[in-house]
Amino acid sequence: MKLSPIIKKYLPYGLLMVIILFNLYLYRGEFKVLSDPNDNTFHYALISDAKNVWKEIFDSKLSPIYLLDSWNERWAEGFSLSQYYSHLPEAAISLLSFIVPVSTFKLFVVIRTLLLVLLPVSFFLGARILGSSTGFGLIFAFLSQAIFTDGLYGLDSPSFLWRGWGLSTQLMAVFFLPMAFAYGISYFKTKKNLGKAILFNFLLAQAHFGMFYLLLFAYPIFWVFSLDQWIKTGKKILIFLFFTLISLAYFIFPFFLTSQYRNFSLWDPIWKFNSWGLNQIIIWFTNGDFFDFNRFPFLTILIIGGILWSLASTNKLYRYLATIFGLYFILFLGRGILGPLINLIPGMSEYHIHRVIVMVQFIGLLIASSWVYDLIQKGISSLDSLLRGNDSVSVIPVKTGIQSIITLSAIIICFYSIYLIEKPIINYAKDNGAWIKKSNLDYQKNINDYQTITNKIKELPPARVYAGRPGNWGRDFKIGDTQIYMALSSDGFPIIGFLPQSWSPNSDAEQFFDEKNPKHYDLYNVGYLVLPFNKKPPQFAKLIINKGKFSLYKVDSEGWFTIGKSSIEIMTKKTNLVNITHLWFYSPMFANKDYPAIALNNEKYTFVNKTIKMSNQNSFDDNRVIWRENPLFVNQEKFEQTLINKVEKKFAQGYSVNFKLENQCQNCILILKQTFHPNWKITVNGKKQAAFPVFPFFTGIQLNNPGDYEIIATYQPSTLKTILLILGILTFIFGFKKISKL
Amino acid sequence: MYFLLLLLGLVIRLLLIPVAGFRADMAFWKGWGLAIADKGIIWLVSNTNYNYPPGFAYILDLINKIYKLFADPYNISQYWLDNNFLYLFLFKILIIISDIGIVFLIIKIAEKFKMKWGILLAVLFFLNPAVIFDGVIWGQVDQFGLFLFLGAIYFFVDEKPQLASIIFTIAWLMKWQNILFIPIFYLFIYRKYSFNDLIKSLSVSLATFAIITFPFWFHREMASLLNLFTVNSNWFPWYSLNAFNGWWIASGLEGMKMSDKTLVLWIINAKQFGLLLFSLFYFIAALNIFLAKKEETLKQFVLSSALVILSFFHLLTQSHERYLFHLLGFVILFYYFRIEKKLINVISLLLVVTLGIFLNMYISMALNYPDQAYWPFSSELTRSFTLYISIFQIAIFIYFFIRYFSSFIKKNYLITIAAVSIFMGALLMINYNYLLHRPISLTKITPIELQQDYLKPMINMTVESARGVKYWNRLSNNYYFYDKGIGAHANSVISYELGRRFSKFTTDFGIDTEAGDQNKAVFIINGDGRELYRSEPKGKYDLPESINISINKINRLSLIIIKDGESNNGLHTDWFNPILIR
Repeated sequence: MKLSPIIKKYLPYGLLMVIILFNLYLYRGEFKVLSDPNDNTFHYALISDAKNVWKEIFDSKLSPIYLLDSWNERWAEGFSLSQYYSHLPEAAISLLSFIVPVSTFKLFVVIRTLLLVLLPVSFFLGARILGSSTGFGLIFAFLSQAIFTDGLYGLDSPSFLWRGWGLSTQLMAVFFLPMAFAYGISYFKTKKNLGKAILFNFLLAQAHFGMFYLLLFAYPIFWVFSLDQWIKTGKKILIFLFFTLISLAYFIFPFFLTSQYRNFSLWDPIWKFNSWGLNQIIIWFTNGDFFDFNRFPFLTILIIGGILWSLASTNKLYRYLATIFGLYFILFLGRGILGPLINLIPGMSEYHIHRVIVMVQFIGLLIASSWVYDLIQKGISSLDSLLRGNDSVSVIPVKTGIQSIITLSAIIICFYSIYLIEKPIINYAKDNGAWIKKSNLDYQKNINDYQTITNKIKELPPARVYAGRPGNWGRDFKIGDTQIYMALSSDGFPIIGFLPQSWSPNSDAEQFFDEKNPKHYDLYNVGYLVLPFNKKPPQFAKLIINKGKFSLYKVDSEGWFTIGKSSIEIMTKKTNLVNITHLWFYSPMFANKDYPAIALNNEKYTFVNKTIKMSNQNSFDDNRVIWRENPLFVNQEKFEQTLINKVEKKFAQGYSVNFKLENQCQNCILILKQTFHPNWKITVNGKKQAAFPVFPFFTGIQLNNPGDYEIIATYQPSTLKTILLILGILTFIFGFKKISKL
Repeated sequence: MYFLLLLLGLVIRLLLIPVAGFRADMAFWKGWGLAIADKGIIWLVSNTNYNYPPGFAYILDLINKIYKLFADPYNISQYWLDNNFLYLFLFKILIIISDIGIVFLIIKIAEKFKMKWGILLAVLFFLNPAVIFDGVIWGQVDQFGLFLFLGAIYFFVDEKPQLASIIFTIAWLMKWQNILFIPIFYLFIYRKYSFNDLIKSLSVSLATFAIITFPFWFHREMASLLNLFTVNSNWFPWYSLNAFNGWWIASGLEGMKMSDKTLVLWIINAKQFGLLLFSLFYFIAALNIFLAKKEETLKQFVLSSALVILSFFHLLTQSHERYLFHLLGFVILFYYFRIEKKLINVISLLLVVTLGIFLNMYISMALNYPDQAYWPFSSELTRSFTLYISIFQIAIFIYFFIRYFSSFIKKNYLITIAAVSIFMGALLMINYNYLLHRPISLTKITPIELQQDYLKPMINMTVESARGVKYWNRLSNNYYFYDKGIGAHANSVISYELGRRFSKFTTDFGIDTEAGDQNKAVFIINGDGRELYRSEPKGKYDLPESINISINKINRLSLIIIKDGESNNGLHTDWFNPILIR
């Protein structure tokens, strides 16, 4: 059965279109999402924050560099998230939202759903860039759509859908991954496409630096498979890495150089950092759970077979793929197996190793596609040669009959397999659609009441908002299927108790916030409470408004600035801070506004009375256990200093305060209730002054003499970032042509 | 003449079928057979104490199904009788078939090599008292493993590595000991043939594995299978399971009474030390194949396999009395592969090895089932005998190593020195902190005894983490976190044999954050049975307590947690950061 050349040429594109249309049908409900119950709340909040930065830029209040590094106040007492996390995609989407006639949220929903629907196109293109045929590309595209797990954070749909994890930045990364990898390899093989290789790897890194970082390991290994041209290939790899890393230098260097100000959270599950361990990973892999949850392990078998086939292949690319699959698989086994060795790789000591699954799946699918394509080709050619044989006129009708039967059988088996493969995905998507509908109904029912509450908060002086947290009643307090604390942070309110990211050094200690203790409201400047209408508020809360199922209360708080003292210095690694901070909440020091100063870099503060050095989470100074000798349990005079005539102002990326200090003040500090970061620039009466972190991890400013003060705290992107950005751009302008020709 | 002798061997075997043998083993075969016939292999593996490979379960299933044709296995009074002839016959006939299969292979391999003494060696094997005792008398199935392994060798001789791989995969899915050979088996294929042949062999092995384990992966029950693969590593945690070897002597001739978690060298326990030594010898065995000339690789593979089996028996703890069985086949191959050129040498070696294996098994049988063996000696004399047999078998091991590996080591002394250095390095690395008098975390030491009312103690995680990866939780008390420690549950006893190596013990303890808030627990530390510390009852909201106690000259340290009151429900308790100081 010969297909005409035109059909043969366009059939794969047609089938690719079928996959896209099928995806469109499968995920049609995603376009209608009104609110998110997962990480997409966080991603949308970042877009919304970027939009605010754009507005400030358009009003000439901020420079565009803030798009790369700004202060995000929505969670965990603020953090410079864009310094450590995805930022350009958010800037791009928010900029687009100024142009398109739909809400920013709707735009976000449409973009992420389209990315998911079109994901197979990216895989198809990746295969084509690698030099493969359209048939191969089609298989790769199909497998990218067919992969399915029970939400193991991989590249399958449960990672991205509404009822799944909502990992939009990962989705974007997975979208760019095939092209980034393919252009990289294409450049190494042919010396073409350097620009595209850099561009797509840059886009990948921008979408999700962690994914890019993992892919980075794969490139140098290609050199081992090109030892016959080791100088040429080595040079190409170095040129590619040089430009790609230069393009990202503005992000990478500040990221690593200020890593001590990024929290290593003990609230995150162990498996996120350590991965699942040898035992569980072998079980899941052999059960088919990494590729084929809830169905016969079609893809798993293809991947295992493909690996063996690749290893035996004479094609170096396939051997290379099998090798990097092995390496990613070993890395995925995690810390339980690799132990401290893994920490030798820069950045891996705090990496969420369970996410290596994405690379295991990606390379696995590429290998499986190669093998399936080879099998199909061999099958067709065997069938051809079988039928051609010693042709004689008399047997031709018989052979045509056999061919038809074999072809028909193959098509039936193929369709039945596709049905079995797609069945769990269809069921999952079906439930997803139904639950979105249900959530939307609830959302529409309550949105007006919710907006009345949020509009009221906007009218009031800015302060943090508390609406419960995942560990208490807050979990069931929702609009649609979105917890109120998530919705509030999405809508731009600084909240406490919810940690979509735990990188702020305040994240862990913030969880000790006690909703019944007025001092805790003061500590964190929590001014508002949003409660279910039937929940009894704390005695000190005053009702502002009741609307529908929501009640808004006011709690008196000192504001964003307060005065205290710091009589002790805690010299520590960031990972040893959480217990001593927790202990501080229940110490006389806390009650007496004594905020220990934190020295993460062995700084020696001269204004404190005493310094202790944490040797681990529970011991200090030569293993003195905090449970035997509590260093924070010291009797002290009552602290009675106050800020007189305090006037606070909030402005774009900063705060200011004017006040009078009446008396000389021993060890006094002014505390800004924002997470400390070296990018905070402080001026005291117009003069620059260094800030330092104080418990729980706020920004402290030394303050001793009586007088009138004007203190301005501004978050400024680091100079290093600006320099590296300019250097990067200049390198591309002046060096790209020259170096790429080497 | 030879055929008459073979016939004699067969008659002897048939006559011995009614012997009840090692009753415990026979009872296991019956019980497991019944379970698999009734509920299937997954149920057998998940719900019984089955600890044999999955392939063997199919044999038991087959036996039970045939048994059902002739008798009722649910007739308890008949089925479970020690002298249930039908069951004994059905089971032992398979052993006899395996013996015949081995004989057949010995002859066939000899034919391949065009050697004339094949039949003589086959007769020697068939009439070998150790072979007869292990199989048709004891009721063990080492024959299955050896038969299939020799089958793989036969196909190697026939230059069919893929067929050999299939047979070998069946072999280790039938008898665990063959799992030992996996690394050197594929190393040999790589060396003898090519990388592509290695991949092809791995592919057919994987396919064979997939077919045999089909029910497990099809029903997504690979966790049960993996558990089956690993459960034996600590099934009988003793120095020696009647294997008369160095560990038997080290245990004071009471290998089944001494935990292999006892510290033997600084802070290395017997099991770890044995494993390290075994790794060293395994490395030498692998190197012997890797560095062999291409035409000699099969010969060296056989020699290395013999070294592996000897090292396995002598160097690892938890070794059984029968674990040298494969040697009875390997020694015969020595003649074919010209490892021993003289027939008389092979026969002598076979006799010596047979003597050791037979006596080891015979005395073990006599110790366990005196009615199954004639043994007139007193227990004291028997103990002495076991010492002599141990020394005898150790001497065989040393002789073997010197005779067959001394020239290899001389020739490759640099690599051997490197391997020994790595071994020494590993010893020093494990003991680094101990030797420098630094504090040692108790979590680095394996307990000799664990008893707990709920789940099992967890290292550096809470007790609930034992339920699976999605329950993994950090140790903490009232959200005060600890990186290191032991997550336990009242009531619990965790004991260590420290060999009087430490003078102080410090630890924090308390109720874990994940615990329920109703009940209280008391924390107790015992040293050699004497109470060294007892806490006040601790509740969920009590902060961690920290203690520092002397354990000078204490050998057995026990960490005990008991409930204070009626219930231990939800009493998730922790020993935080437990430290030993020299």
